[in-house]
Amino acid sequence: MSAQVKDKEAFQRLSFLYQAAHCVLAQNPENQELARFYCHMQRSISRRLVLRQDPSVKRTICKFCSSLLVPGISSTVRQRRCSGRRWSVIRCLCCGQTKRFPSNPAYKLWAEQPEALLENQPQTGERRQVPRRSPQHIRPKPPL
Amino acid sequence: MPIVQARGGSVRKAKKITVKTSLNNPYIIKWHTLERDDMHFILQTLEERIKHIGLKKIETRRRKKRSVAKRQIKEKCDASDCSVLPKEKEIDHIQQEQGWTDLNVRKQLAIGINEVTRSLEKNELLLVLVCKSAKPTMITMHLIQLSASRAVPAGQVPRLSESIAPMLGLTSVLALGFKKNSDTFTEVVEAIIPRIPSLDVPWIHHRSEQHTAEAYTDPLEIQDTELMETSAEEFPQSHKWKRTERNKSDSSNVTLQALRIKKLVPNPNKIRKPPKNKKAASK
Repeated sequence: MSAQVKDKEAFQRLSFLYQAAHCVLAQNPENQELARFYCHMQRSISRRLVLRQDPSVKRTICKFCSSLLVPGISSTVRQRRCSGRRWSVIRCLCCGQTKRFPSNPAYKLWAEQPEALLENQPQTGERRQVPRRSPQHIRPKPPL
Repeated sequence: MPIVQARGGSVRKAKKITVKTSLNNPYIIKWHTLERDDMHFILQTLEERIKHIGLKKIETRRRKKRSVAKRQIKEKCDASDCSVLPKEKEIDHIQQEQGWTDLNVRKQLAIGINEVTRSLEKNELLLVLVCKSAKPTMITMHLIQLSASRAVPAGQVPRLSESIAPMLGLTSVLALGFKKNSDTFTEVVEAIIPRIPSLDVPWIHHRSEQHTAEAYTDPLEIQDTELMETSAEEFPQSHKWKRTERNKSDSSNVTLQALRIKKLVPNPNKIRKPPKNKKAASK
């Protein structure tokens, strides 16, 4: 892989749209539609060019209506207990869709682990048994 | 394609590890580390205050021995009103006074993440303290943005839960909020507030910050002064925001954060679905 990132302009555009949506909500929290439009644009760009986004970005965008989820302004966050486990429930105020994340202290996203980054890539070494959150490509390979 | 499997005799060591580039979040939202002195000061003031008031929740543990609960009642030497919290599953023979020792004081505090979140949404809080020992960290991260939007000082104290939870008789206190109507805690609040570093959320309050972590491009500066000034003046008093005076007078720059990209290596221990029959047929 080259050092240059492919579709760098597209990534910049995504980043810009994301920040613009935040600024829009910062200036006028009642205007959810513009933020929604920006996030919708961001999603369609990444879908068309198949660009991967970090879970921390995807968690703040509603999957259903693609509005920007800001706790307190466009979403409510609660800690709930359901079926014996503790979940973080984020609810979009625009469409009412809920995202649930289990609050497992031992779990860490693969994208957040230091060994996932290319710079820290070791050649060998044990890696934790961690399932990937949102696999965009499910490679049809037998498990190693 | 990425990792070629060894087939029988010929072992091709062409290990091409596909690297996936993903768009990382341009905003780094995290709590600020508190200084040691500040931390100790905060904890001490809180403890003194709580001991002075004598606020505690008396709760009988259902599975533990009843003698523990009896001992708790005997140790508590306060004559203030106690409310009996109705516990549906409780089949206790002992008639004890359960619940909080002082309801009035309890109403001035918001204890627990959900309660703090709710009162922040209603703009009822003066100060928010969060424990650093929260795992996973995601459960308290929403409080950063929430309290920044309400302009409420919020600080992360490393050992909040360890010191305060046993004093209050609770298992863990991950978040603590002081409501605006509190008279017992006003001096404590005023003493603690200057010690807490202010939260910076880049898109709120439009403070220009340069983030150069993992930057592949130069940060671009966009001056949205015109937009800011016009919208700030006409902005009505909204329930969701607390506008400070200085926002109107500043020529606020909204700095575009640098593009941050993460290069990810696929997880070798990823749990994959077993291959279907057609894959086996093709091989």
